[in-house]
Amino acid sequence: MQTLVIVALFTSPDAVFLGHEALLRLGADTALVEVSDEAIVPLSASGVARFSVLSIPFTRGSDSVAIELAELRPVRPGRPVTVAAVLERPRSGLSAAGRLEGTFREYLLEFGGLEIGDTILIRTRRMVDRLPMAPLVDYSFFFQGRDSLASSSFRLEWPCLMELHVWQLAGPEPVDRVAGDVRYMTWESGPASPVEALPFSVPVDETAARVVISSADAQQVSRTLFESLDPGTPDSATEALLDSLVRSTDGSPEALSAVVSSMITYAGAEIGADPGYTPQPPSLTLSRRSGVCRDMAVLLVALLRTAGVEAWTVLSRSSPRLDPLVGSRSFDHMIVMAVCKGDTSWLDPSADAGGGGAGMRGLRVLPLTPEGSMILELADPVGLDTLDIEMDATLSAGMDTLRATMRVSFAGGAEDLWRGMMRSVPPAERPEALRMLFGALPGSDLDLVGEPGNPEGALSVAGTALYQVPLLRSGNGYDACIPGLDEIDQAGTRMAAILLAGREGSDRMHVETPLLECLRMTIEVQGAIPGLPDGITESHYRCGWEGSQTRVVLSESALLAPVWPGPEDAAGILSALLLRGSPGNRVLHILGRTAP
Amino acid sequence: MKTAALGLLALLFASGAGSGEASECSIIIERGEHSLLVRTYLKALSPGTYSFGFDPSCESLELLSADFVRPGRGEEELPDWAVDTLTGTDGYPLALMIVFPPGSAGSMSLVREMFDRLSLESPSLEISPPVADADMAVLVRDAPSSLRWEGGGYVAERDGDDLLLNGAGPAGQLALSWIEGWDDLYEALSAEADSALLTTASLSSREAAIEAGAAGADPSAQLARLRTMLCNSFRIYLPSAAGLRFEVGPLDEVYLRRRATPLEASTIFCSICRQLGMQSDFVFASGGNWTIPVASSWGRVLLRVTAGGRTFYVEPSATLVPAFYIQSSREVSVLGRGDQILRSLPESGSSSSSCSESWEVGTSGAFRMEVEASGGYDVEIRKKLAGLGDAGLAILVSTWLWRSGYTLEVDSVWTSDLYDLGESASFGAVGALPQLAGGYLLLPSLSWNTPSDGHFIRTWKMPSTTRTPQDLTSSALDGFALFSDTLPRPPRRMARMEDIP
Repeated sequence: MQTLVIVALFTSPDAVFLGHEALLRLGADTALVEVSDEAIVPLSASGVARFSVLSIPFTRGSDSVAIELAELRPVRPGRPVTVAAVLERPRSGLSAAGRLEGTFREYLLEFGGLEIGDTILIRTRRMVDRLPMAPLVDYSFFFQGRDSLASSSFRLEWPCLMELHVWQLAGPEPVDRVAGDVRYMTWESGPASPVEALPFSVPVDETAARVVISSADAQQVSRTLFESLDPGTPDSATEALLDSLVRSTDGSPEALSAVVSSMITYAGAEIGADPGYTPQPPSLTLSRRSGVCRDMAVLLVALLRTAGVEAWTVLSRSSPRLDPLVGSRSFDHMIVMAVCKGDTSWLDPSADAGGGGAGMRGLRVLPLTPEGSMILELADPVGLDTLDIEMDATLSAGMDTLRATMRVSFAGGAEDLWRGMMRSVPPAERPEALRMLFGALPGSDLDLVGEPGNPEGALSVAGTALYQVPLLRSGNGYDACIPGLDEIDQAGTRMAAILLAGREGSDRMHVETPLLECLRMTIEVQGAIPGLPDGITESHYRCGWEGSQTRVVLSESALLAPVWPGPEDAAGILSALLLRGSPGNRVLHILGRTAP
Repeated sequence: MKTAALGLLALLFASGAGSGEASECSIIIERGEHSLLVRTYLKALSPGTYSFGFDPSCESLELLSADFVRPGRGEEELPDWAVDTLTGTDGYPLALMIVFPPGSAGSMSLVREMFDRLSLESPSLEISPPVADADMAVLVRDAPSSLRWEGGGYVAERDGDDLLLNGAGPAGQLALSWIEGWDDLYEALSAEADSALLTTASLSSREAAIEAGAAGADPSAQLARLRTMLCNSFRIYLPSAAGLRFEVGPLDEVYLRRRATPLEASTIFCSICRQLGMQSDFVFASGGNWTIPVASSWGRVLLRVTAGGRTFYVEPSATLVPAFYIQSSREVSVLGRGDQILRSLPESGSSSSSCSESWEVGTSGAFRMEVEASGGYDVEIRKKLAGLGDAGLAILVSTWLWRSGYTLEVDSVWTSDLYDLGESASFGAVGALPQLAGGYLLLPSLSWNTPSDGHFIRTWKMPSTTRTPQDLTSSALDGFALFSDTLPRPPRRMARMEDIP
């Protein structure tokens, strides 16, 4: 569980936490109390904007939060100490995410008139009446965040008779003592520098110093939650329904996942003892044709088992990825593990697109099995996320425009990315969106082939694209800068813009949309090309030319992967981004015809 | 769910307004003593999620009924799980959410009751079809003959005291107004601000006036300082519910919560001006095209300030906009006290826009870029860069260059104080161009949102051996070549430094 502190810490910089404290007390009767104390001083305008309104989430029927202190102490004399206005409402973002689960609530603390240098003091007491699904306690406390921390303290009071697991990444050593039946552990930390949060970086809360405690190890959590979440054996009516669905496909895990993905609309509903956590029975999901990840995963597991495939529900969290210790509240997503003829596949029926599942690369997951499973890290292979661009191009007589017949095909992460983008664009607007995504000029005519919402069907882009060709008079001809990946794949170029900015090192990189960009462009010119530019071959980039005087071929590729690169791959990615942005590798000297 | 008024709503289409195939929407509007009531009935909807935002502080929204039909089955009432009230989007605190399951069509009726001052005293409404292709039928109960309406494609007919407006799908927006003239609209919009100004000036107003007038600043400097103080002290928000946009609380309370609507911000500005001995009037601005008085389209609130024999226009709620610059000044309509509607600000109403963007690129590929701007260009800089840390600035400038067509390594960025609205915005960056293979480079430039007025100049200072396209103006400067253009959105141009192999 990550409380207010984490919500506040990991949004953006510009404040100092003078004090950052938490107390977690587990009673012998398993009553859980979480007390959080914060003293925050915004140091910039964006800090003021961030901390003027704070959200404290809670779940009605599961936990309750008392706001014991929410006070603004002004730095300027003459201004009074004020108390925050508190508003309770449904958690923001639910409606936009299609979640009709009004039990997810939040308190909004509004500190009117907050100025730079003011101090806000917040103390909250969360009483956890019952943990969702099973009494599996976990808590994460961070000694570091995106803001400066002057001091932090985490105190734990835990019944000696209760099992306790502790995992820590850096941070101070705890003081551990026992008095009576209670074990007291305290972590005290001094000043901590902020950790910079940048796009395409490993999330701060994966790298920050922290301690995680839990009442069970991962294997026990897997075993316990299996009992709550596994769909079990369907009744005969449901079995017949599932069987008819299985028969409508070839019965493969991928086909069944695609069926669930295409027939179930993403919309949440409150059901069961733990609204927001309890999955719908498969029959109900089929009847409503609506559900969220847990409902779709449970339905898919039931379908797979009906098809004779061994299958389990799997819990995960996308960002930050799971730590080694987890509990009832650690997860935000459910997927499916299927074992078919000895091969294990990981299926996400609620994913936005049905491509290669790049969103699951390197994800840490907990399969729910009767024997209990460890946390696993899914594979993060490279080379599967292909964006393949084929172009037959003609340089205009004036040499300043390239007209190309273009075909683009996708696989893996590239397919996920483009399916997701195209699903959000109305069909009539797709040609314009594609023109911009492929950096082409107005007057281009690109369109989608295939339906982005149907993961079983192929998806590609075809049409005509126009590109400006920068020209420079040179001797008895012109130098023409032929468009390459930098101009044509705007997704990759956006990555370049972000990764090449203000970065001193290449560590802690996270590539959310891995790509293997491949461009092969055949170019006809009306003139003569006396020689071709030299080729380049590096670990993550290749550019080469071949051909004759009037017909040449440019081949360019860049590997912007894996999702979680180590230092060597990260350096390779940065180098590839620089090289693909260098126009000199794509300049043709053309003799003869007169340019404008 | 209630069933009241359903029969009445259904009657509208039973009388022939609907086509039967297209989505249908009928609306009944009743002006009561305590509220303005809008009943909506929607039929033949596509499956999907429908969201209706509302602000409980000035209106209520209730779902009276929701039914759906699935192929092969009869009409079913929508189950409870498919309806909830959640946090709103588009600025509304709350939203009523309704989900029609896939494969179904449905109908729903809901009632919105508005009890804000404007809805009661001077109502006007903008009505958009809730479904894009819907046939619309709008019935106004007890419509006075002075009721004005406007909407392309609508046809009006009288039925006793009622007015029925029919629009065949896809129907457009419809406006209704019980407000008789522009003077009446002005009075309705400014009434609460005027009465807030009648109360004794708060201590905060006097303190602000003293601070703005410190060190004998002239009126222009005082107003610029005031603009900066207010923008940096208040969070400006525009309530989605139109009725709240023209309500003004006691100024002391607004000072305390530091959150203000455009009208509240202008009222505070006005009260401080009075402390400084300056005369100021509210001027409302609208980007809409209604030719009848519709309050909700007049959300921008300017002030006309007279001081030292000069007239200034300021927009106190325009955050990160230069002190005397009025955005889109040539496109908006304005309405001042005693004025009829004016289709643009007077010539003196807004300062002009200019931008100077200069680049220096060396043979190593290292670059230094500097920009100085005013007016609309200044706004673009402030809105993009204000409040970012070092890394954020570098990423922002880098992505700005990407959108302009260039991939560069941006190492660091500096800016002027972008929160000081009295000084022109400027910023600069240093970094490197990608490898200059063969000495070739694309001449870097930023692409700008061009304001309707203004002057632009861009220069590149390069080694004297550099060749560029001939459309650039060139000159020699201290052993370097200086190239320039005047295009805010230039084409990509290639250059070559001859002394690089």
